[in-house]
Amino acid sequence: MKERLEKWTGAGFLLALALISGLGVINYQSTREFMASTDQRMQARRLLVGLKNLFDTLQDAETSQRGYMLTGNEEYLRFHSVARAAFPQRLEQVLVLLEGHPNTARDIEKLRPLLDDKMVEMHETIEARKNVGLDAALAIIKTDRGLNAMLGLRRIIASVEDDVVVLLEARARLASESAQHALLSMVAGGVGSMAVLLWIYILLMREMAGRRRAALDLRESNERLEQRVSERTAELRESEGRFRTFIDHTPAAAFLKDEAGRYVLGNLAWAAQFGRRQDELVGKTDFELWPEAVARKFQESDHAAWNTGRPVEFDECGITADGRTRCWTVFKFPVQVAPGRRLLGGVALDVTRLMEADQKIRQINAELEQRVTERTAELQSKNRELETFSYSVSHDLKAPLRGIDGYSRLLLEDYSDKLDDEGRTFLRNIRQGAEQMQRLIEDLLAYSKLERRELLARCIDLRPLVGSILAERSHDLEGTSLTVDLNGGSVLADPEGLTIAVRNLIDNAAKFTRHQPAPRIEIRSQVEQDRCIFSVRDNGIGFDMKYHDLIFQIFHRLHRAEDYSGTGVGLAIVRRAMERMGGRVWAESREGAGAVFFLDLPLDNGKKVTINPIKRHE
Amino acid sequence: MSELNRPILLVEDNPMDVDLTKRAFAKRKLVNPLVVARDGAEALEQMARWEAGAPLPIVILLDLKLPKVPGLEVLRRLKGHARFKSIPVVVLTTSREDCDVRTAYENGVNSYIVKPVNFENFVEVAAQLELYWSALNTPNVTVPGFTPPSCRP
Repeated sequence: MKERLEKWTGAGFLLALALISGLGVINYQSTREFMASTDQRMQARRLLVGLKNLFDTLQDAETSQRGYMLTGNEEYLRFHSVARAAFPQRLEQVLVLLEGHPNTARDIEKLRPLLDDKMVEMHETIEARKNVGLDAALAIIKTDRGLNAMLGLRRIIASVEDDVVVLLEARARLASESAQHALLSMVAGGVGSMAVLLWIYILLMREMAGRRRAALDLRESNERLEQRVSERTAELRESEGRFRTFIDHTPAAAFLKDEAGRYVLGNLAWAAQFGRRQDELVGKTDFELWPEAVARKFQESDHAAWNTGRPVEFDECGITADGRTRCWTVFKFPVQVAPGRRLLGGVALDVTRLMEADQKIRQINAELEQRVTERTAELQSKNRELETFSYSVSHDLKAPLRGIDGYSRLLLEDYSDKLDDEGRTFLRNIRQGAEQMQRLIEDLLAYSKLERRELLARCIDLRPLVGSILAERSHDLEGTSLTVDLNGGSVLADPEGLTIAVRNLIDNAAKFTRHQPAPRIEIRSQVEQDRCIFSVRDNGIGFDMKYHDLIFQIFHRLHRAEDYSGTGVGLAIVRRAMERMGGRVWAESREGAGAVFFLDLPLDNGKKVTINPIKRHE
Repeated sequence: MSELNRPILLVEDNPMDVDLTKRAFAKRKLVNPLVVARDGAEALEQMARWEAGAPLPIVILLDLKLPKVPGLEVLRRLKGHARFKSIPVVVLTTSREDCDVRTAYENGVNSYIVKPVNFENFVEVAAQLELYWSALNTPNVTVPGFTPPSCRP
């Protein structure tokens, strides 16, 4: 656009220049023509004047001749000779002026004989007057020689004058035409160059207007830019203010370091550690602010952060300006603030209280650990005592029982005749009590043994297990209708624990159906998902479900000893055994409507199942 | 020396048990004399008497829970003795603790019997013991200074 404009204006100027130059050339030429024609006209005028002078001189000579003739006054003669004398000069002048006009010059040459004639005639007449007299002179005159010459002269001069006037007119016309041409070309050239200049002017004006507009736009955009710059500056200032306020109100010490380890920025909390103003600390390194050992630690972590380019975290303690030992969790991270310029950011959280609390917790933990150890030792010793106790029970309690039983028996056998029926009943009761106590002891021992021994996880087929128990108890189950339906497959359990549990359930069922007219026991097992549910159903006396949990507790009994004997340990043993084997026991019953006891056991499906999660203390 | 003259050694601290054992044997008309050691130390003293020529017991009934020297230690000493190790030892105790049973067998006990509380059963056990050890069992030759030749395999 700009190049085009420059081209156009250049071309326009060149055109205008060319027009003006052409105009100058035309002007120059027409001026020259005009000047030349003016010269010619002046020459023509001078020729006319010369001709008139010539003719006047001729007339002067004629007039003075006639005056002398009439008067004889010599004065006329003098006048006449002056005119005569001037005559050749005047003719010469005319001839000079007629150079370049050969035709006219030839005409003038025709004057010469006529002039000579006239000169001769006048000289003769004058001589005649002087010498002869007036009449002689008049006679000459009367020949009309003089008059004819004069007429001829006059005619020639007049014709030359006419020629000159025609020439003059032609010249004037030519000059006028040339002037008109010059004027026309000047006007045309002027108008043309003016038009070109006007066009250029318009172009330039437009261009200038454009420039002015552009300048205006520029100024406006500059102003806008300035506005934005000032807005941005304000924003930046505000943002920096916000950042400052934020960082200064941050309770954790925050700072920036350069690669030489000099602090470039730090917040109030950071400065407070040293009890100094921020500006006093900027530019300093850790070695100027901390004891060397601490500073070295900081430096190491700086290097770690620089080298890895990732945030590093470490804990450090130091003594602050107030003389207190404080601990921090420090995070350091390199930040790229500009291309090629990195700074190290850092945030130090005061964790003194945490550390103290941690210390306290550690201490408490250690104390707790100590106490646990002590308690464990105590417990282990208690356990040992308990074992010793049950061992003693097995040995020591049974011995006196044997004594009681033995001697009662001996009394009954050997001294029966010395006792009456009541005495014998007493002795029998004593023996019964001893027997009951023995069972209790045996059960207790079994229970405690179950608690203490380690259980095994074995694959057990329920059929032979139940079969052998039923065989064992065939005497007690005489007269009882038995249904055995074991489809539950093999289970994973401790053989002895499971035997104890199953045996106790069968014993339990046998005991509570004893007084039924048609005792019935159903023993079943079935698979439910990955478990085996073993059940013993009886048509015995049953129990109220509100005692469900109670019957599985040790020493709890729902019946009087004379109705249903028992130690109150059997179901507790079942529950304990099941718990230790990772199984479960529960019952469903109604008073007077029999009871079902369920055992929930893990199936042996080839998978490893950990049972016996409780390990005995050694 | 007749087998019937050889005593039965009862190592038992409980006097009632001693008495009841005696009576149980008496009920079964036991003929062998019953020698009683009331604690482990007394039982071990018997070894000196045997060395001195006293007749060796036909069987030793050993309780485990004993004053002074425990029953298992007595067993260990007996079974560690070159000569007396052939005397049959029957542990007669109230304990059915696994560890007791295992230790007893590890130390070479010949039998392990849990004393029944019920007197009838106890008498029965006494009778069986007597019958087995003094009548059915052939004891090793234990004459001092005489060692019978070993049999060829």
